[in-house]
Amino acid sequence: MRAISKAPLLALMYGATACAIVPDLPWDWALPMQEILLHTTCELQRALRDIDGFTNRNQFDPRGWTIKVTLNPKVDLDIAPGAGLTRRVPTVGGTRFTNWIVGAGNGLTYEMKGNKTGSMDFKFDSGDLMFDTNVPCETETSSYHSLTKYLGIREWLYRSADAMSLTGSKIDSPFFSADVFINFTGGNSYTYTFPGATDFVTLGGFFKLQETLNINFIAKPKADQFKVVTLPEGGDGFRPNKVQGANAPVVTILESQQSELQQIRQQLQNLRQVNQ
Amino acid sequence: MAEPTISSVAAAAAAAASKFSTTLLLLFFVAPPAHLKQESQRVWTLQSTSQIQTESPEMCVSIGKSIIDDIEPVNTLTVRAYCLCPAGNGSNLCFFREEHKEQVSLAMRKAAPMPLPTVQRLGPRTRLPPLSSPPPLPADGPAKE
Repeated sequence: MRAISKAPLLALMYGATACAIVPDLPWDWALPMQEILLHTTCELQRALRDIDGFTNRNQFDPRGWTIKVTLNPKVDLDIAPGAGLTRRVPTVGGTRFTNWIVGAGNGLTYEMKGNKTGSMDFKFDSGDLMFDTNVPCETETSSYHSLTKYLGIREWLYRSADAMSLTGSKIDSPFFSADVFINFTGGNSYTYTFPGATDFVTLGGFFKLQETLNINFIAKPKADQFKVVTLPEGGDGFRPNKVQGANAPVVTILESQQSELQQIRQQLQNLRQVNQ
Repeated sequence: MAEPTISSVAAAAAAAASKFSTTLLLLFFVAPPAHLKQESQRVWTLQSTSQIQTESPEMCVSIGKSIIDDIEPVNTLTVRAYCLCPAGNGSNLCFFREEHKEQVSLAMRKAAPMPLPTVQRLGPRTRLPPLSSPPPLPADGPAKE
């Protein structure tokens, strides 16, 4: 009986050393990427529509931004199985005896940790977003996640515009960040006691889901938009020539650089001390 | 200045018909390399021009069309071709020889305006001149051995 009870204990101890854990990203009902993005889009759309006409265009032009919404899903998994035993020799009687303890406290423990992160940028043109009527903002899905129902983006933008109007300042590079954080923690233990000895197994761990949402407003560089005709009118079968002015590529590069700089700044702000 | 009479106009038209030379003007444009030609969406720069004297509007249109068709698949080059002809509708159509004769006879009957010097823009879908009929055979038929 005692030999049989040791077998699973040893199997656990040896087996655990061969494990490595990389957790999978959970399904959308648990880590609601789609809903977070949808609600973000809808809140932004409502805010931009509200602000349009309310603010001075020279201070804040709701149509003049490229909006980057970044989602960073992160999953952390930590499982710490433990095992131990105590023995009394001799089991009963005797004035002199010895207590053996293998694995003090929780016994022998083995910790398995893993995490998986991702990042995805979603890009919007603020002018296009304002007039986009195809965003399903009234949708109620079965996995409607309570944490994503109200992210406060609209209020943040609205209040910023309000403060700007009052002070006569200009909004330069608005940035919004929000965390949706879900943590499952659990622990269990099993103890088998018989005369003079115990075997015990413990299992503890946690599973964390974190969805970081970042919203960056990148000002579209001001440039004269003009069209040029570079070919004279041709005969039957030639289409008329009319192209964007030559400074268009420069504008694109400037916008791209500005976007990357802003993202680097935001990543530095989000840096945290890693728990050992 | 006296109004041109019908006879003077007819004489001028006949003179034009006898000397029907037409200038083919070609403008060549270049653009940086790209996957597709997308002629209407790219920035083109004038590279060179060329003028070719042709004997008739038919020849001008035919040569111009051939050049346009040859350059069509080239991504970095495009062409604009114009026929500067002595007799046409005055806006964008050169009259071929037969058309010219018809127009002159109509004009003499006051049923149509007189042909005018015209610049015709050529394109991929410009109508080609009608096929010229073969020269008439001698009355007694081809020579036999």
